[in-house]
Amino acid sequence: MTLPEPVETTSSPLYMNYTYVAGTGRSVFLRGLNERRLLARHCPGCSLVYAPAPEFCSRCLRPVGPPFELPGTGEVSTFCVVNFPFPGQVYEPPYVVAHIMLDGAHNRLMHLVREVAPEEVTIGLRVEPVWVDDDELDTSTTSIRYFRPIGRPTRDVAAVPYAQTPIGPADA
Amino acid sequence: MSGPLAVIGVGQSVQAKRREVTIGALVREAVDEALADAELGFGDIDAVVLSKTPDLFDGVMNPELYLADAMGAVGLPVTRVFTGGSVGGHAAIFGAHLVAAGLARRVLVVAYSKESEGNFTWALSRGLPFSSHLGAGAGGHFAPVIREYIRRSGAPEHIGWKVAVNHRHNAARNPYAHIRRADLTVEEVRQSPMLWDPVRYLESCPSSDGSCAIVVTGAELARRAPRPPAWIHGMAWRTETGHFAGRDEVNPQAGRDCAADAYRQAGIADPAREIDVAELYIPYSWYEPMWLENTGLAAEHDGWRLVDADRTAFGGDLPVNPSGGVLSGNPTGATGLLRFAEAALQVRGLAGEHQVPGARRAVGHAMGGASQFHALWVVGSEVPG
Repeated sequence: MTLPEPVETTSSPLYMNYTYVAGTGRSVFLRGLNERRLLARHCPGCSLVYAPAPEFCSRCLRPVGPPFELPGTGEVSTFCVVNFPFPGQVYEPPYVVAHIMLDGAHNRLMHLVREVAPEEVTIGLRVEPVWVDDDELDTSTTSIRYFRPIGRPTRDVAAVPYAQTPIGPADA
Repeated sequence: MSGPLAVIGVGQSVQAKRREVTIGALVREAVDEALADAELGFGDIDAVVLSKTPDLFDGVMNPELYLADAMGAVGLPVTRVFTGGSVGGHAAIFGAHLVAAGLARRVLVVAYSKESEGNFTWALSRGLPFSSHLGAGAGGHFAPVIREYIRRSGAPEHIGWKVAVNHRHNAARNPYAHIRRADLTVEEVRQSPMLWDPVRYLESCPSSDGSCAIVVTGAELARRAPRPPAWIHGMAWRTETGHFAGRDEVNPQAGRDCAADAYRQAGIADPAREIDVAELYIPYSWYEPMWLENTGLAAEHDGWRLVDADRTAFGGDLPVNPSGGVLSGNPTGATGLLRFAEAALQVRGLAGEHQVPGARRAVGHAMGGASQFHALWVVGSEVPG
């Protein structure tokens, strides 16, 4: 069967401004980023600490407590090295995308690790944020340009036990 | 609650880059085959369920409207189910729920993706509000989780290569699979480009066009079906959010709870011994040991030992993905339903060259999002007791 030349692409430009409502929980974290502060909140139900924090604990569905500031340092909980080009990328490969556990928090932040060769990044690597200049600060994780190493691994995070508390609504 | 439920028809399209057909025609291939298998016509169907990934992936908004004729849905209730990559599994269970609830006698569950009309990795790399645009792509989510599994379990790196080879060898037996490589070697996987370190090119799923459809019904009509039914012994879905304190992405609680519920319904106490074959949602090779553990088919940190001992290869005592699995064809909207359908074909004895001899109970499994959505069913050749 002979097929006609396929229409490879069609152009249909459209543009729309959306208003994203971050909510009272997430706004606290985002406003902190605008001041170079990493704000966490503690769940009274399961005693775990969120950074970024929602309004309610996603494990036990209770409202989380007031915000407090974390030191900002953390460690690479795990990571991958993006090694090849694909559409939609913003950085030139290879680059490291890591799950970073901030000191004092129990959930992880996904961000870049730079100022280190990808082959030298390890699980457990201690990192700190590199913030943007004052005029670029925003209520966004873009206020953190990336994380960079502050030393060698101090412990094996594989040995850190995961929270074993069952997930579900707390008793009323 | 109704009596037992069963799958009486299974259809699927060839998975490939299908530039010669429209989305509607691709969907119709699976629908026609499922109805022919059950020896039914559109007039015998009471409700249609459509499984599909985000509209951004192949660029058609609200395909449940566009596809009404291709699915034979004219005048029938249509529901679109939507849970990321697991969606086909959820759609199958939802279809079964409609029969169980007495809302339909026969339900047609339809699933597809036509990823060659868009770009899946681009669609998964969009920036989010108030977040750094990392551009990690599909594997950028899973690769760090795989690294964490390797670290925790102490698995040697050849496990990932071996799974990649096993699944592509299985696919060579499946005429519908996209990547069919009977000649693939561990060495070739090992030499393939590193994409998202630690995940190599040949350890990754393709992006495919393809469709799948099944017909689900109750016991009375199933007994009158022209070919053996696949009886549903247990089915469950579970969900968890993507980011919560203490979340274990390597072995998500939602996946463990989902499998445990389905086994409880099926009266299965020792899944590894009582299940004959498992068709699991494995988009990157390392997810075979991870999901074996998460679905209770292997002890924690031991899934890789089953791979190492060839127990999950085609001739092993717990064959995994005899169809070739997601690594050999990934039309994402249909990928979950293909897993559920393969389990059904196995216990019906209709899996052709990839039939596992004597398969009487099989698991079909699907996972979606950042391992947030989990669906699993246990199907069997016998009416559940």
